[in-house]
Amino acid sequence: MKKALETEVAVIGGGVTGTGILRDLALRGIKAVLVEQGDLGHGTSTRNHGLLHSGCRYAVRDPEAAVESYQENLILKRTIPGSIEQTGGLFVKVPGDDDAYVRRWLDSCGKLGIPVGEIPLEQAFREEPYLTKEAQAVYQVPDGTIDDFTLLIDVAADAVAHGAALLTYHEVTGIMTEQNHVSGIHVRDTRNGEEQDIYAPIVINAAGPWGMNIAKMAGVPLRIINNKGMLVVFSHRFNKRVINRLRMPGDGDIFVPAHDVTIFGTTGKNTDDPNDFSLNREEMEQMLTTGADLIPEIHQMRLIRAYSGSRPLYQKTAGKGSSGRDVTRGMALLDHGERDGLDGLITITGGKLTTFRLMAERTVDLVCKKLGSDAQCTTREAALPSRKSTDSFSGANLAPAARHKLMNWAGVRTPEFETSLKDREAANVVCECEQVTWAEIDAAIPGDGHLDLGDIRRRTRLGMGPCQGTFCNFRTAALAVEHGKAGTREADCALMRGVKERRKGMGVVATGETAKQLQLMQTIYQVSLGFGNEEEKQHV
Amino acid sequence: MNDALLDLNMFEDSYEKCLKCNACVASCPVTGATLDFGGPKHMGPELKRLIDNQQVIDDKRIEYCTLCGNCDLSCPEDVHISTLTTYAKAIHTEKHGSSFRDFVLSNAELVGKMASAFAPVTNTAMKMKPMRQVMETVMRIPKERKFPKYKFKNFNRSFANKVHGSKRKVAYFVGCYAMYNAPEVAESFVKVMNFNGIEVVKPRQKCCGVPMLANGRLKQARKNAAFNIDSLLEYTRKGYDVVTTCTSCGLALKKEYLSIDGSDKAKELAAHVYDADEYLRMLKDNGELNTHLAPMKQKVGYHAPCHMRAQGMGTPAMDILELIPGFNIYDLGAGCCGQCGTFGFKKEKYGISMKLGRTMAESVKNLDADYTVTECGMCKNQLDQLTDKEVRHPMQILAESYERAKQLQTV
Amino acid sequence: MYDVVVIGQGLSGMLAAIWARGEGKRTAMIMSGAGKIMQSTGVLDLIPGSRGTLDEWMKQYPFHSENKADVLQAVAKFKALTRELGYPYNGDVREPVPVVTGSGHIKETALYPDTVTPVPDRGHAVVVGFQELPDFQPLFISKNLQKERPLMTVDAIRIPLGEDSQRVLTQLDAARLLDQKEVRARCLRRISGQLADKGISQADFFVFPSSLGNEAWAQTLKQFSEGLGARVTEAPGMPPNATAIRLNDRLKLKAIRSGVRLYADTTVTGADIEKNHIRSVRVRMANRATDVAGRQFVLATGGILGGGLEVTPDGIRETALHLNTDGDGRPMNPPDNLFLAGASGGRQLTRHGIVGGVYSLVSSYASVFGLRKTVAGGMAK
Ligand SMILES: Cc1cc2nc3c(=O)[nH]c(=O)nc-3n(C[C@H](O)[C@H](O)[C@H](O)COP(=O)(O)OP(=O)(O)OC[C@H]3O[C@@H](n4cnc5c(N)ncnc54)[C@H](O)[C@@H]3O)c2cc1C
Ligand SMILES: Cc1cc2nc3c(=O)[nH]c(=O)nc-3n(C[C@H](O)[C@H](O)[C@H](O)COP(=O)(O)OP(=O)(O)OC[C@H]3O[C@@H](n4cnc5c(N)ncnc54)[C@H](O)[C@@H]3O)c2cc1C
Ligand code: SF4
Ligand code: SF4
Repeated sequence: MKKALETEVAVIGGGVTGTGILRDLALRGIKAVLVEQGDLGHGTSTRNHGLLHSGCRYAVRDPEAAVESYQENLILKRTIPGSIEQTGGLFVKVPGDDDAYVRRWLDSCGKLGIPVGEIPLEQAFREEPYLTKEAQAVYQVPDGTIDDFTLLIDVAADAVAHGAALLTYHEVTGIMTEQNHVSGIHVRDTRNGEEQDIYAPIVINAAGPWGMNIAKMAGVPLRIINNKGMLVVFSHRFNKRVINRLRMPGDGDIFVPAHDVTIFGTTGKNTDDPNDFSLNREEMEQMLTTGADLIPEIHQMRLIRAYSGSRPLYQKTAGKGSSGRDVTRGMALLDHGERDGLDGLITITGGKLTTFRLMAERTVDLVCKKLGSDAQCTTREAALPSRKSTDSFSGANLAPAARHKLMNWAGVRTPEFETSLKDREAANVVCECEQVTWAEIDAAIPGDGHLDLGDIRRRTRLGMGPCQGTFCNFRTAALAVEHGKAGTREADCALMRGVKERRKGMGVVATGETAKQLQLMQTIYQVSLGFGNEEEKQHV
Repeated sequence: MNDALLDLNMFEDSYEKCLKCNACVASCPVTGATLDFGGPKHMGPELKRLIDNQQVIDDKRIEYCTLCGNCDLSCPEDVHISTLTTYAKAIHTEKHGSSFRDFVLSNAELVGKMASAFAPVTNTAMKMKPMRQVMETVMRIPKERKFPKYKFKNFNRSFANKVHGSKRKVAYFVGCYAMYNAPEVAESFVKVMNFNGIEVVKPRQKCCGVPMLANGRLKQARKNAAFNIDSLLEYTRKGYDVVTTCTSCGLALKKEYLSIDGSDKAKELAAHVYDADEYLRMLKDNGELNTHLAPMKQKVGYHAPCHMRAQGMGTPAMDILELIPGFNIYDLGAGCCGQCGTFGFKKEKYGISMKLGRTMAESVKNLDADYTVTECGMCKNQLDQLTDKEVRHPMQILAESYERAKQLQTV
Repeated sequence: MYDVVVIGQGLSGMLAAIWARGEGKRTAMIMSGAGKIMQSTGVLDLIPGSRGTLDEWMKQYPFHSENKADVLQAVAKFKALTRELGYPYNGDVREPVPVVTGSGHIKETALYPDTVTPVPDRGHAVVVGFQELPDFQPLFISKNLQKERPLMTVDAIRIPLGEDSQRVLTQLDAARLLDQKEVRARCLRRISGQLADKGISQADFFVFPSSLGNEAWAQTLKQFSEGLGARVTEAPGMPPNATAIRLNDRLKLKAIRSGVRLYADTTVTGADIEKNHIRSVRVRMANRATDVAGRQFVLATGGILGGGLEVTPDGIRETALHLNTDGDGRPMNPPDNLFLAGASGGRQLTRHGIVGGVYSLVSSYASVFGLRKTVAGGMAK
């Protein structure tokens, strides 16, 4: 018999928007189920720049978005400390950049109340040795960085802790309607094909770039432009703070330090297919050339991979030919009852990672209105636990670097890891680049027959370093079998999938050292380990 | 972030080229000898990447790194691993301070000056059991460990600059060992140069800084580097070549100063520095070498110091000594001696030091030559400890051969 | 002035240098670092990553069919050298054999040292792993081996080496531990204990990580095969494999002791070439550059992995001598006193990034002793 489930709200999309909504609903005591076709963050929410905007970037072009960003910036620093690094940011003017813009920018930031201060050039050069010595003016702003992986995991965990349900690897295949009202969604397990129905009077479309598909299922008109941006990852973190270019926002003008790497981007090209994560070498070269204005050594520095994601940009009028960047990046909250006469369906799209909480608040406010509830939003104050550990894992035989990683990672799970790490083998470092122990990996394997190295990566940083999983992917797959967390075929498949996925991101940046790294990976798997025939035989 | 540690920051980003290939790990003698060391890949590039622009991570296992540089030799990607481990050492010392012993050991120059002033007393004291017991207990310097002798008539006291205007002019970087412990090496070098009609001057100089680096005293090493760079540049700018008889000093001037000092002046200096044998080989290639060398029918084993190999110049000592008629020299191919500067003087490292030296001792034994040749005073110390063969510096042999040739001529 | 200047310290470079020196040539070897042999498995394949006969290999690389005798002679010379080094290689390039890898899959190889035993079709195998070693997981390996060898019974056990370290232990670390007699004895006891506990009957084939001793591999092999009463093999996989490190270390020592001059941690950054004839190469160490002159030069700088070729946004570049190359990095019209050995000959020679050990050794042989016949588009001299 087909499985069925009943709830008050069904949320479609496990990106930061949907997950934020799920938590808000749960905190307000509203029953909700979130359905996500892949792992949490399958879409744009793990394919972005990770900049906690101070609003400065939008100060001139979109003051409203700027203020929203700044306010949310302050709130998130307080409430999601575990996923935010308060790096601060710099805006740098280089020769050729418009002086008039600088004046307007300063003026607008002042008016909006975003604290901006000029810092002496020598100080900037000392603190950021890679910054171009051509810089003419440097301003300090309250930018920060967001770890979207931990953010998603922590927000979702809090939602679940407050009674919400989460279905990952489940795809929404249809919207159920009764007359002019939605009544639920059809869902399919993407791994075993099993179907089920989720009955809910309210359905929220938080499917990001896939939003139009959902609208189509419900038979309502919706126009979203998917604006694809490319980002590249440098092998190490060469800046302390976010470095922005002080000019009208354009391609290739932000360097974001993220843990042990620096992420640079981005571009903007419209695409019709939300599943289009393709990477283009030429686009990247152009972006790097622009980036060299800020960081002249950029062409000599090693890139370890590239990735892309799409910004879902809502279009009020379904007009053609918009370039993407001109469309509002503000959020769009659509009540399809009011708009299209299909009650109970809500679409929330656009916006930013930085404003996800606000988007959730507004969406759930609307839900409450519809449900006739007066529950108030508490996410402005309710903080998620920090990721820092107060204890130092003194019982575990860990080298300082691995200990350091755990102390900045384990957070509330510290006691759990203190216990598991007592086992000598659990303290073995499996991923050396990012210092991930077997204890962390073990805890991240669901053990439900669906070993996926990407899912583990997002939860632990496994394979995110310069070697891109050359060593740790193999170790993890084999250890999973050894410890009874996966079958051999499952592990072999996960391994081939994982290696292929890493190779894709490396391929486009594969010159110099990364070309070598890629070959080393290939040689080890195909020749040394003899997976050569294996790959052709079964999985590709 | 701790500011003092930020000051240590070196502009050293070669770590980003690391492929995690483990060649360095497989080649590091200390990694092979003990599981207590973290290995070059982790203690060098990996750690630096995790630290840069974030938070300092202090790992005390770095004390095991001897700065022998074998990791650098093996790394195909030109990661300056031992520079990065130097940095990890500096962090560790900065966080924990140096012990009195490490402070003393790293001050080769100060100790040299004092020990030499009281040379007879020092040398006797170092042989006295009660004295060594005290040193072992208080300073954790193992009592079995032999020490180089100190000479009262150190090279500073015996050498006077003489300028006579030869075509090639040499500014001699003597180094603490030849200055205080083995003035005979320095004197032989001057003789060899004189046999080639080359004027030698001794610029003002301080300890090259390598022992300091090995003990995490980066700031002090930097000061010494700055001093030496300025002092030596005065000469190179007047057409002098800088020549050393110590392979560690040579490596510092050619390579380490580029990363710990990093100035354009360091670069300028590096281009003028030669190892003594390398210098002679260059003379030979240019047809300028005095080849009146008297035959010496000897079978000799050559021990290549790590810091000689790290200079990437082939094996000039063998190239030069082979010019002596009848002289048979064989490379022992023994790898690291295990003394590693100050490392082998430390009680807690003594076992590893002995373990490392075993291969060398065995090859000396197997070759069974008349004596052993090596450039490095510290390698000599370990050879003295572990073998019963006499150990000589190439300059001593050359000087002897030249002198004999001269005697033969006059006879 | 050297007679022969070899650039590169990989399998190809070391063999060329040793053989040239053996012919009484004054020989130098210049390298920026160790060769890829340090990451390799230590077994020498014909066509890396696939199966193939000697004839197929000769066509692929390509050699003139008349050179088969040279190939066999090169292999014989290599085997003689390994015997002299105390680490003998077995096998016949005309009959590649199946060996088990560190993932439990089977690959074909041509030449392998005593520590590697070809894997049989049937019988009873036990895969033995060490708890401290993340690179070799016996259960995973045994299951994969079982898939590859359906007629075989395959079991897996795991024992602690009993050594604690905060470092990630490698197969080489394990090999060095097994150099100690007591550790070996302890391991044997633990293996017997485990076999008894799990009720595993007498097996005839034991699969170990590539860790059967480093210096004391012969004793380890003997003690283990006698102690277990079965054939024993190393299953090389994740680097560093002791199987390969032993060969690397021995070749390097041989080169040094026989008088090859090593220019280590240096990079060749150009050459003085006149009338298509190299007079000297420019060698850079830190901030200094010197010229090393020679009569003959062997370019054994490897391919993209080895660093001899570099992938740039504008295509492939030859790094050492700045030779003009075709799109695959194959030098066009190379100087008359230059010999190409190993992977430096261009990407068309590599499969999954490497040329394979057999090509390395044959090309090194050819660079010193020449070949009977050269074929257009085939191995350059
Ligand atoms: C290149 C780039 C850089 C950016 N940089 C920043 C930045 O620095 N700072 C910032 O604040 N913002 C940034 N953004 C914006 C930010 O990333 C996005 O606004 C945000 O991640 C959108 O999240 P979302 O949850 O709405 O969409 P998504 O994360 O895409 O989530 C939608 C989810 O819905 C799921 N889904 C779709 N269809 C179905 C279905 N049928 N069934 C089940 N599930 C389904 C998808 O799998 C996906 O996980 C950037 C965006 C891009 C593209
Ligand atoms: C992971 C891995 C697994 C392998 N497994 C197998 C296997 O199972 N079977 C098999 O047969 N083969 C295997 N091999 C390949 C084997 O090691 C071959 O010997 C190798 O591919 C080719 O060696 P080479 O000597 O031509 O070059 P390399 O080993 O690449 O050596 C190149 C040398 O040149 C030096 N160099 C490069 N550029 C310069 C320069 N400009 N100046 C100075 N020096 C320079 C480098 O430092 C290095 O010393 C494997 C290789 C790898 C990487
Ligand atoms: S300098 Fe020597 S001891 Fe230190 S890591 Fe390198 S090889 Fe090992
Ligand atoms: S040898 Fe060089 S590239 Fe290889 S692991 Fe060591 S530092 Fe990294």
